[in-house]
Amino acid sequence: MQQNVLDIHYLIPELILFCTFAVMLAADQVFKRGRKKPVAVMGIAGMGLLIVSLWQQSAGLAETGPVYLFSRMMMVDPFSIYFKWIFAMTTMLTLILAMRSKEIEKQNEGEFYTLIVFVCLGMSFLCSSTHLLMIFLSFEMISILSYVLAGYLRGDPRSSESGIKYMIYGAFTTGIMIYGMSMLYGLTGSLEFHEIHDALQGGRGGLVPVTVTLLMISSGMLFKIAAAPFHMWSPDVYEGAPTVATAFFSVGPKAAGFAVFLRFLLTAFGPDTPVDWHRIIEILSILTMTIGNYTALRQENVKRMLAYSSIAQAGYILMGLAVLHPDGRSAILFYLAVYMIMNMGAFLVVLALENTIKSAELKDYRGIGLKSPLAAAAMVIFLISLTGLPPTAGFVGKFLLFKAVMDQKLYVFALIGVLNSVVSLVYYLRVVKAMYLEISPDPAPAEIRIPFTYAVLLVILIIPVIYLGLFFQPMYELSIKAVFG
Amino acid sequence: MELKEVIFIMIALTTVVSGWLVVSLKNIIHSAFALLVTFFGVAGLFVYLGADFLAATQILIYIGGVMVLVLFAIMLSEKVYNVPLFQKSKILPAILVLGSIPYILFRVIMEASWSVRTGGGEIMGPTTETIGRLLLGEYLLPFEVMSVLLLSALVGSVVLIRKEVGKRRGGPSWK
Repeated sequence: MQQNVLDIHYLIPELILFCTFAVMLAADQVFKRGRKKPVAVMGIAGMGLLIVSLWQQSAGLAETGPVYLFSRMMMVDPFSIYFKWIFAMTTMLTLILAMRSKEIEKQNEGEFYTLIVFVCLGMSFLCSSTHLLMIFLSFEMISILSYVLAGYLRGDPRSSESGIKYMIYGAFTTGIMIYGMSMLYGLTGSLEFHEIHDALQGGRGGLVPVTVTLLMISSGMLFKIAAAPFHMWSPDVYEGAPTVATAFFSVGPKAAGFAVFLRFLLTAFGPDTPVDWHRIIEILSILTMTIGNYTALRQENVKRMLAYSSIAQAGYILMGLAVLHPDGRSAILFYLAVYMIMNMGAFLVVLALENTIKSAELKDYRGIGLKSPLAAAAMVIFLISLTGLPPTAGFVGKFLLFKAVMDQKLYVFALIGVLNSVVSLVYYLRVVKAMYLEISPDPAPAEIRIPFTYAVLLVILIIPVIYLGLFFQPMYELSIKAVFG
Repeated sequence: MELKEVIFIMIALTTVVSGWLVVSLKNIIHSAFALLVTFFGVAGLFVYLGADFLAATQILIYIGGVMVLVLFAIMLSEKVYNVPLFQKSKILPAILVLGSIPYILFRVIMEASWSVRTGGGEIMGPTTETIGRLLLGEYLLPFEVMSVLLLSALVGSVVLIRKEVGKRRGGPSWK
């Protein structure tokens, strides 16, 4: 029990998040309606504090090595700190996005900021959990509030539909996941990853039960990362939810899902366990990227297209997991960081345009290239990066993923990945074509004004996309350090 | 057949049959009352397994709290008595799913070498003290995180049911 008190020291990032949440919740009651911006500013300040504390923690960790906390409920290691950085950045960007969103302004905006910070708390618990009970709890923390965020637009039936759909699918997969967890407990007698691994290594269980259990638990995690065959929810949810929430879902909870999936598979089902899971992941990866890309081809709504594109991206990222080599993992971490920047950027453009033209349909994007040069140019850069063409960060990310696959002599797998990237180019270019080569029938707004905050943020997001495409070494070393400790 | 087996079969039958009634009854209030019996059956299973504390909480929370809430929710919603509870059944997929899931689960149950801890004829004692110690010792973090999770769920539900911004006070919010 004494140890629990000592461990609190390592929980400082989570405590900062919780305090930010509490302060924001209280502040939301103080500020008058329509003047809630300071609440978001508090959240952004909290994220700044979080980043500083993570910095300190990672410096301290260099001496002590990875630490287990609270009777091995969670662990602090470079891997979890790397993900917490991604979460902090995502949350910060989302808060800035939300501050200027017309959709959110019409609602109770204070709670929106507060709930986003709370989801960040859940994500940071999730990426450091090493115990199935903690995983379940932090999973629910993310899920329950995601349902609320998706259905946030009161009076908009599409948003309500999105919230309800998300909840029903989510509750169902969580049910399957927790059933699997209970079976794994029955088979191994433990909920802690290392003990599960030891028990499985000792030949406990038997092949069929362990495989079924693994699939059941994975279904919950695959749902969060929107991988096939658990991707059905994402287009409807992404389209109906407020755009800020969509941007957040497509990056934050997805990265958190990858963090826990990686840790779970590599620790609990690590070496010498009976299940050959990397074959399963390989098939899922191919399925996910193919379904995502081919369905994206037919979309007429940019938000929906980006939803399918983010399914496809999840497929590429899974490639790194199918490779049983640390190189694949560091490529995943690198790609997730890059993906965060470029996907947030693409959604930022959608949001900035939506504020003015009140639509995310592709046909309304015609002629944007002239009406709003900055937004259109930024969109082109982000889409090129999402496709994975040089000289952008997305190219380096995909290159590292494909290289990890090629090194393992999985040539067919790599080829499918490359072909999928070519397909993705088609639907990304459709947006570019609409913006630059087609003329809008309605010349009414001669110029689309973007809020100053968004314009600055766009430039801030373009810089790393280009910079990391040319000088990726420091970032790559960071992701290697996160994998190897 | 020993007495304890008879007791187990009775508890299990109560739970399963009432659970089946929950989904098959046409009247939603009857379904709710069938659910009540299911909860009792689950509490009985907990008693059977020697988990006295869990059984008590099951009765207190699920029957005392959740069930009453469910009944209230049904009573307060409009058109309670004639809710058409129907499903468009697709027989073939249903048979496939209903056939494969029990088959897989049955195989898992039979093939698995379960990690069983046998009590070895011990007399069952109260478990409350052990649970209390675990909650404030080994399971301290999940215990605290759980309370935070409940707080967030509370905030989230308040956000969803609150009146819309700009709507006049008074009068039902759904109109």
